[in-house]
Amino acid sequence: MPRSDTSMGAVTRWVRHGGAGKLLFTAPMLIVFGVFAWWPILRSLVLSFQRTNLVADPVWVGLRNFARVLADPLLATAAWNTVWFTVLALVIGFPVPVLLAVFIGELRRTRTVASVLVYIPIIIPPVVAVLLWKQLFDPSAHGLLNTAAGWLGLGPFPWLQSAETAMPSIVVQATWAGFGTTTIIYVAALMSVPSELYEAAELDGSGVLRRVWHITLPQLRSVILLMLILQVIGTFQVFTEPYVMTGGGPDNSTITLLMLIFKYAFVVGDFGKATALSLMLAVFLTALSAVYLRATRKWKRS
Amino acid sequence: MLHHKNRRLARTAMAGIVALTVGACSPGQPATKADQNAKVTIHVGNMPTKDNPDNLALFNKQIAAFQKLHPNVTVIGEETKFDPQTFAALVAGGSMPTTMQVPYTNIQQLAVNGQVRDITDLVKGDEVLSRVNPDVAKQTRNAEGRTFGVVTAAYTMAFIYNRSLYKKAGLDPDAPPKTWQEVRDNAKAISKASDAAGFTIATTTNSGGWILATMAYGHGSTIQKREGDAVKASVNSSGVKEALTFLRDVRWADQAAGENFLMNQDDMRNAIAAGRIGQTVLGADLYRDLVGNRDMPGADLGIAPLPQSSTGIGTLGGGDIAVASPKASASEAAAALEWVKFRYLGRFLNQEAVVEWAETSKTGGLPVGAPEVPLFSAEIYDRYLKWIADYVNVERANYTAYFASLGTLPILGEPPVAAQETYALLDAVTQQVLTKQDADIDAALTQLQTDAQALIDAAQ
Repeated sequence: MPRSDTSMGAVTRWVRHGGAGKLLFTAPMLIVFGVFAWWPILRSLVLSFQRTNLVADPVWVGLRNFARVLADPLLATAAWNTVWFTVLALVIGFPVPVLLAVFIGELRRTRTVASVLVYIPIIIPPVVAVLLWKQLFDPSAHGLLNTAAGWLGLGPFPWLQSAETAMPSIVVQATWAGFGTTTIIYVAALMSVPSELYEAAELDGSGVLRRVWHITLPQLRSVILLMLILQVIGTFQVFTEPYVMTGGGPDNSTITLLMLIFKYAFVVGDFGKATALSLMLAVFLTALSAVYLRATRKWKRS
Repeated sequence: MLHHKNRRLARTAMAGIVALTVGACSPGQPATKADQNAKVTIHVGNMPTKDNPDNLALFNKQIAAFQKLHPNVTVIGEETKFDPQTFAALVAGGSMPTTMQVPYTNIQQLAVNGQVRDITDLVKGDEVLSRVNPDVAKQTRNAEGRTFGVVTAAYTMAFIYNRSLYKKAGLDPDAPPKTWQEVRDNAKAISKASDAAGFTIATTTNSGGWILATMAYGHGSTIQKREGDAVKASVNSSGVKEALTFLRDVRWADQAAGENFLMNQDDMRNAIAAGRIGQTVLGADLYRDLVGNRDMPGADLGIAPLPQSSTGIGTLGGGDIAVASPKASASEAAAALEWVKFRYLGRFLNQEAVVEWAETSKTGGLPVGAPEVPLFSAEIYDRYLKWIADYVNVERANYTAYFASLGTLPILGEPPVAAQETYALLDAVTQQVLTKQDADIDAALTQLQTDAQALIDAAQ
């Protein structure tokens, strides 16, 4: 067909192909995202270049908010704590769901029950779970975890009450609270691994460990790689756990970047500084993700 | 890739922007002339919550009585109360009630930020307000003499102790310690005789800095100094150092500070009410909350003046200030002011109101005659005490030393600039001395001095 469309023709064709209906169906999503996500993102971009408490008239200050954030002595502490949390969460929290999923995948009849049990912590609202763990981390000798440690002849540990152990304690809680979802995703991915592969391996006489190493993990690779970057992005934004459990203490040892943003905005009322740091974090995470995706592209395909 | 929290933040911010735009359609700059007879609806904060039915009933009764007196005013109660972490958004989002209470600590910063209404014109020549104790009234004014609120309750930071734990440890609850050395000795005795913490303080959400500042007053220094027109940080001073050394000694040398060093004020109040704290420092106004809301036996709660070292300079004053929303019109603000006077000051001046308040409180098991700083002159306060005499259910004899101190122990103000931010900064060092055995107090104070000055410079 010769391409002699007028704009009128394009519109007619768009309507005939159900364009109006499509638009109607996507409109709620577009409006909700527009109003509650994209517009606020644009607004925060603007705010980061202003001095404003949202009551008095905003003043344009150029890059001064960014300079003030960088001059804050707490920034380095918060950034370091955030990286430390991320690293600990990778070391402690990342292998747990992979191993659990492999284990659950090996189950036959009890797989559903096991999946449900693993997922249960997710049902508890985050703040409730955090408060619960705050009780478990009772530093006295008759605290719950310390009593358990006592049976093994260990402790009592100060848990949240010392700058050295506070962050690892928070990571333990965060891992407990988060591993259910990830495990379920891995289990689902495992189900799509063709069973012929395992049958062939079994015929060749390979044991469980070899099957996991040579079949399961390679088959899960692309999911694992995706979950890894999602976890890094997620852990860089840790807020609820330290906010509720330690308030950033002791001695700022658990204050994170998100807590610093919260402090700027809501303790100090300096929205410019808060959005400036948010923007810096967002740019950093975007760059990190881009580098990561590029670096792992080959690995994923092979 | 803006993340979740960021989005939420931005959303709050946006709500503010929308509210601002909407607000601009109504008279942007509040009219300066108040019309006493204009029909207005005011929203008033600090309404008691439903778990506090007696207080709530009294509140609603007062609304009805107030509306009878002022038929042109409709009063709508709201449970909104001050939270430093949401107040900025509350004002920006336009949901701040016409009037609500804020602490002394925040009023100066809120005034500078334009987050509360200037009510100088409304309070000028007011008969009731002119009788308020001048030391109390000055808390509501800025350096230029503009007025931003009305004090509705005042207290001083005090030494809080558990009388029943004192007895258990063989100490005399009627002879509270006067010096910090005695506090330390008593802490040792209490932690030896029970599981409770001998002495500890709340250290998170700015409480650590607030209490450290108070303890520094008791050891002879303030944390900010006025030098001519400028305010200078004086965090690295002997009083602050002695206060931190005291905390460190109680914690490490005496092992008498308990085990939890990350409590906010709410945690601390629960712990005191549960009898897990032997001694601490907090506002003397907590009687009402601990006994009325948290079911602590009133006879166990000891309140005494803040102990002083040989160089001590007094204690920190605190209180609540009713403010008006910056978006309130002059007529709304005027009506709100009348409400504030009616609800909070009436009980000192009008016998009928006093008796009704005392009767309702007593029936509901709420304290009558609890420790507080008189808002008016001594004569007015004595007259008030006579009016409530039949209803007093607080063992006032237990607080003889505290009442006596109100006339003698100097009441000092909050740090004048960036008070909350400075307190937030100091939280960390109180946590450090309580959780790190080899904490270097001198090094920490040198750094904090620089950081505290930076906060002042940024705010001035």
